[in-house]
Amino acid sequence: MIRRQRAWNQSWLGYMFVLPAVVWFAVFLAYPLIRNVYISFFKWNGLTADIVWVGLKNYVWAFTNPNVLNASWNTLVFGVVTITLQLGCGFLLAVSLVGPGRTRQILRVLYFIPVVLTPTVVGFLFSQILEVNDGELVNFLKAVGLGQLAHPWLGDPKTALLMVCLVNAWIWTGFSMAIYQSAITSVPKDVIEAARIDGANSRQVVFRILLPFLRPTHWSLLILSVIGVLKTFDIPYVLTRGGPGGASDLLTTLLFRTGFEEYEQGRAAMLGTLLFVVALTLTIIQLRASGRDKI
Amino acid sequence: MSELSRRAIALGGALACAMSLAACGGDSTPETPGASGASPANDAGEPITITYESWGPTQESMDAVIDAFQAANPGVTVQASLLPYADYITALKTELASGTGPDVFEIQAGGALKEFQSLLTPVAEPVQEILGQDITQVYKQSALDQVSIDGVAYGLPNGFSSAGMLWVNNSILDEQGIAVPTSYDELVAACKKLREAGIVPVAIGAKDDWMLIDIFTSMSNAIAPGEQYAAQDSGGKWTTDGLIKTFDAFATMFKDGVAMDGATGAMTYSDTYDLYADGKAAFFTNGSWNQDMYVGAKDRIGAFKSSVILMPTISGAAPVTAGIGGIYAVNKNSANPEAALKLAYFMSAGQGAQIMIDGNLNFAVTVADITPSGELSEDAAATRAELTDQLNNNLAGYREVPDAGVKTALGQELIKLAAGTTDGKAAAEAVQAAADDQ
Repeated sequence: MIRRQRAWNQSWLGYMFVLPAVVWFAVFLAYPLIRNVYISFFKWNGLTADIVWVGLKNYVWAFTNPNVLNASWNTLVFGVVTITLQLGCGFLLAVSLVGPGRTRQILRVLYFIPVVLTPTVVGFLFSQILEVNDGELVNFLKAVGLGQLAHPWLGDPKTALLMVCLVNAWIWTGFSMAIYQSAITSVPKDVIEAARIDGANSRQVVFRILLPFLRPTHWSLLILSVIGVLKTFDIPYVLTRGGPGGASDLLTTLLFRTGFEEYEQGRAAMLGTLLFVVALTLTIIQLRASGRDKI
Repeated sequence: MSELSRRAIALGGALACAMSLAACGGDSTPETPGASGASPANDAGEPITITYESWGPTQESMDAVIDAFQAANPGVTVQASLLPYADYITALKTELASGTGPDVFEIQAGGALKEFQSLLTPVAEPVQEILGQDITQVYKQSALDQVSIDGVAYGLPNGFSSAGMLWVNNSILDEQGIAVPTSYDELVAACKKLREAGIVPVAIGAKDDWMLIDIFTSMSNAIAPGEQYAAQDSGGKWTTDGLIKTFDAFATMFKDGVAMDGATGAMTYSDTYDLYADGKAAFFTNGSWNQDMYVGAKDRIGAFKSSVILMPTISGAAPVTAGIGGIYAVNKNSANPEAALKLAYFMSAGQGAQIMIDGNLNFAVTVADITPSGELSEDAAATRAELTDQLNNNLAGYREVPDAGVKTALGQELIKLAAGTTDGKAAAEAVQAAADDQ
């Protein structure tokens, strides 16, 4: 008893230090998460007290409904395209803008500006630019005699998802560039100088020295990007609302439509749970892979 | 860091955490604030504030309504918040789900009324008790039907509208030597000529799927009369030959180049409204509420000659559908239900209704007709006469899809048809599947 009292006297301060974090986690993370999983077993319109237990029915719906399967596939395509673009372009921009000089500084700022813009604003901006009847791009093409290239990029099911990918990559490439630039400064200069002395040209330095050296940065960006992709809602919603006809529907836009337009909160909660499980699984896989891959 | 300061930080953190939790825990005072967060009304006549949220009317009309209501009800302040429909309904759902929300708000008839039903105050008795009015005597029965479930009125109707028509820019047609189309083939030919001249043919903001649903409902009433209503109301199927033919005719309209390019992409209702008002589109699919252009955008629409015609389909001109513009509902949790009900009635049938009809030229839901008090332009008067005639003599039925899930599925399938990624049979089966799922 005395020993336990002594242990408490010695450790209570530690508990007090972690208490705010634990309470914050419990209230703002754990409870909503558990509540979301709980709701996913019910039929509920999200408004009233009428809530009906349906067991696994919402889960069966998700795995048999063509809209869910379509949105899942689109989310996968969106993730692969947008992450490849933003990491690839971000790396190349970072490499090309390394070093001093006013022009480089200005370009670095310009490329980073989209990151600080509100995605909704960017979405509206590109809606106007890509509009096929009176949009800025069409007007420009017409002005330079290339009006025949005008195309309903957001209205054509074949191009809508690609446009959403490009706009999203446009926003986040600057972020990847900034992280890569920061990481490049930590690469030992003597390694690069040694490679140069050994006769490596610039391309070889970039792809044989820098690229492997930045492996931890690639993993960090990949994890952040995957989570970001799974959370992306504003850009596709503002640009296409998941259309036309589901062509650019992601799991997030489908979740919104299911919960707020169809008043099926149980199914929406189920989709939220699905997204959480996918994000958690992918993050664990990536963390383990990155841990094994440390150089 | 000293032991004392470490302890102080730890205790401070725990205290802050406890305080934040207390803040999350809600009000512990005996008098909880009302739905609006305003001071509750009391018999002493102390000033009260009530809140109103909706997607309409325009801010200008709303300001005029508030001024008139506050003048008629001293001590009552109205705080209004207006948002685009999609944003509004999202915000409203969140507010109501958390037990708060505005004192008075607007919802659409049909599926939304069913979903919100248990959060709304039945209005017949309080209107009788507080205002001394019998709603069955005040309102047209067709309007009351749309605010009622099982004979109980859960709100007061707002403005009657007809839908599924084609607005015409006659000046563009005259310049291009095109006659106003009276058949589907003439419409296709006119649109082809307009496209060749680089002019937007029929403006459709298909990103807002309700525009497509309005067109489809009008078309189904021409091609397969009654079948859509049977599917919606009385166990009929969406997969009848007539409705499949309607779905196919709808898709053909887009294949034939009647609709503007990119209708399914970036274009919303507001975008197409501007295209037409700015004189850039020859036609515009819209309802009678489009008359508000003659007030709100009179300088723009006054620059060209305009009119309205029935939508030509492969089975002749489509009859109109009609419905109320919305339902003024009183929050069941309102702390000021009497003032809230007065505002709802004021906007639905009182002086507020007159102000709004002056602003949007809509049709009254009341038995006693309320007509615009200002002078109408020649085009506005002619259009209003045509719309009135169609409402009185060529009305096929109501314009809302009663079930939210079916409405979403129908909207999605119509967008797919417009984009050419499905066919009539598959679309009909998908909508039927959604209906079976409810």
